[in-house]
This record gives sequence, structure tokens and C-alpha cells, in this order.
Amino acid sequence: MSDRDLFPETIETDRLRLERLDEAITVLEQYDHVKVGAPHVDGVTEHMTWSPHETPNETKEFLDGVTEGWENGDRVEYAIVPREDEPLAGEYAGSAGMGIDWDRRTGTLGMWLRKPLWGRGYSGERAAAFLRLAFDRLDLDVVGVTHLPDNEKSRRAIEKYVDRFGGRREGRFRNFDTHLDEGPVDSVRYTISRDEWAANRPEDSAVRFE
Amino acid sequence: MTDHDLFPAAIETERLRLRQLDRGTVGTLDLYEITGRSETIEEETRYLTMEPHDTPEETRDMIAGAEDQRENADGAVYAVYPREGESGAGEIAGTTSLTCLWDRREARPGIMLRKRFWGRGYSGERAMALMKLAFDRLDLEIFSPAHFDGNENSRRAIEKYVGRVGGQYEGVLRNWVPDGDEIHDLHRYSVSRAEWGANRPADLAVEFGDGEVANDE
Repeated sequence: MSDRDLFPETIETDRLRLERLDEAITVLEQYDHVKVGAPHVDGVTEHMTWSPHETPNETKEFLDGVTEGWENGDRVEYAIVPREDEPLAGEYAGSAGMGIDWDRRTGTLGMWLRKPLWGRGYSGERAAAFLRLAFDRLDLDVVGVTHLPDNEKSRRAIEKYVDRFGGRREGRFRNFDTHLDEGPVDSVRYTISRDEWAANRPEDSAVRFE
Repeated sequence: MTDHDLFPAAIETERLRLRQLDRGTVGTLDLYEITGRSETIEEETRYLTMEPHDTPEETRDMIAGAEDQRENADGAVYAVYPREGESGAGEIAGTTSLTCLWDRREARPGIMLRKRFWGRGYSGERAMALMKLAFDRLDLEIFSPAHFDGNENSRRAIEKYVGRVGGQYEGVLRNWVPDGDEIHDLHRYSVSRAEWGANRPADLAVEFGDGEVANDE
């Protein structure tokens, strides 16, 4: 059970199961969810820095990047699978990842979720699991997250868990990120430090790494 | 005068002359006087990632690095000289740089000044020149100065010139600059092209040259 690798292959929370993405899904399965015209994909990507994929080759490059990040130890990406009694239980419901900048000892969170699952607090539940991974297992100093300025849904979800774990909004930084197709974009950034996590970590956390 | 380089070889402001670091124009040993031998070097580099140079070879590498950077169009580094009428005219007062992040249309300035030239407003004066370079010549969108947490002198200098052209303080990026055993928090500011357009000083006296400008001395 106890896995001594850097990254766990699976993570379980109360309501979610996270599975290493490049092993949980094939290129064509992933493409069906993120391609141009896929259900809700425009809503999902509207306020993200990527656009719906136009060819399965884009999806392949994305998944190759996931494998590479895993092997280099600088990025993890998991498929989100809702557990029993949740809507879409057992199905592929989106992905959640963390890029790791070891020089800055900083993890940066990212996530997208299929629309029927929005508004259920999954973002905060997944964030709590990644904070445990970042601080307790990877010994990082800071976990950060950003959203585009007009992404109100992400703003609310992020503010909620950043506040809960004692972190802070750092500010709105201009031309701080680049959209894959549209060039530079402003970014609103938040961070939670290891000390803030230690002072505010949930006692009843039901997170399991395997 | 034709100039095919993105970055002018020389820039003149009211009180300063900037010359691009280049083995032909800036003497390695002259620069080493401030990067290595200055008695106040510890204080001058305390809030910079730059470490004092132990040998002139490090200074030579710094100049070679600046030449590479210019050739790759990643940015430029200039030596800063006070002009005639200033105390210390003709000496190297420090260095300043402009780094271009083209995919973000962003220009990041940097500066290192010898202590005896502090408090004269040189930082703001060269910032105006670098903004003119970034916006008018390089067509960038954002000019983004920053300083480490705790660097009060830079904070005051940046607040003053950013405020003057209508820019803003954005916030502090935690754990942003790895530096040996430490990782510094970074306070970031920005001026947009629109803010520059609306607030640029009407009487701004900045000249870009090809490096053949006559010496005053």
C-alpha cells in the first residue's frame, strides 16, 4: 500500500477518486471530452488559458506532457472520478493537477470539471488533498493558484478554500500568463504557505494516497 | 544614422548617459570597480540576486552574457554614467537592464546603483527612458518593475515613478526569487502602455543613439 514514489498513483477524498491521468484515460477518450463541440466544452474553457482541442494530436501532446511531467517530477495530473452516490459516479469528470517549481518550492494548482458537477464544492475538496500532498509529502513551502480576472466561478471557489486554509490573495498581475491561443492575459493569484496550512489544516481529513 | 538593433547602443537623459554593455565600449576593469571592488558592494547588492564579483573574469562573463542577451533579443544591459555637471560625471554609477518577455509583451527593468549615487532620482530618470524604449520603440504592453521584500529604497523609488505615470502596485508574489539558500518574496508593479500614453512627461528629454555620441569629458 505505502508507495514510496514521489507522487501517489491515486488519491481518495470523501467524494472523489483521483487517478493518474495518463494511465486512467486514452487519448481518444480524453479527446471526446475536450474537442471542439464536446458537450459543455465551451463553458468549461471559457475562462481558462486553453481552448477546445481541434485535433486528437493536440490531446496526445497534452497527455505526453502529463507523462513527461510525472517522469521529471515537476507535474502531476489526475483524472477526477466521483465516488459512489455522487453524480456521474465512476465516470471521467475532469482533471486536477499541480505543477511543481522546486526552485521556488511552490506547487501551482489547476483543475477543470464537467459542468454537471459544478457548484458541489469539489474544487475545495481536491485542494485540501493537494495541500496535503504538497506540504506533508513533497515538503513544499507554498501552494499557489491563479484564475483569469473574469472567472467569477473560480474566484468564488478559490476564495473559499484559500480563506479556509489561512492563505491570501496576492493581487492581480498584468500580462502574467499566456493563453495558448490568445496571447498575454492578466492573472489573479493566491497562495497558501506551509505555516498557514499547519495552522488551519482540517483534522477530520479523509484523504488517502496510494 | 541607421540603427538595425532593437536596443539602442546609447540612451541619453537629462542627467544620465546609458551605454550598452559591450566589450568594445565598457572596460571590464572599469565595471569590475563597481561589481567587485566597491567598498559598499554588500549594501548595494543586498536586495539583488547579483553576488559581488570575486574576480574580473566574472565581470567579463557578465558583459559577454549581456552581448548574448542582446543578440537573442531577450533584452539589454546598460552601464549608467552621470553626465557633465553631475558629481561623479563620467564614472560608472551602476548598471541597468531591460528584459523582454515577448510572449507576455512585457518589459522588466532592473538596476544596480553605487551607494554614493543613491538619492539623486537616477532610478526614476532611467526608468522613464526605459519605458520610452519599451513602449515607443519595442511596442510592448507592460513595464513591470519589482523589488524584494524589505528593500525600502527601491520601494520608494519605484512607487514614485510608477505613481507619476499612472501605474499600479500589483501585489507580493511569495517565494518568487530563489537566491542561494533563500527564496525572496517579490513586490511587483506595472505600467501599461495606455497609462504611459496618458501620463508620460510632456518634457521628457530622452535620446536614443547608435553609440557614437560624443563623450562630454
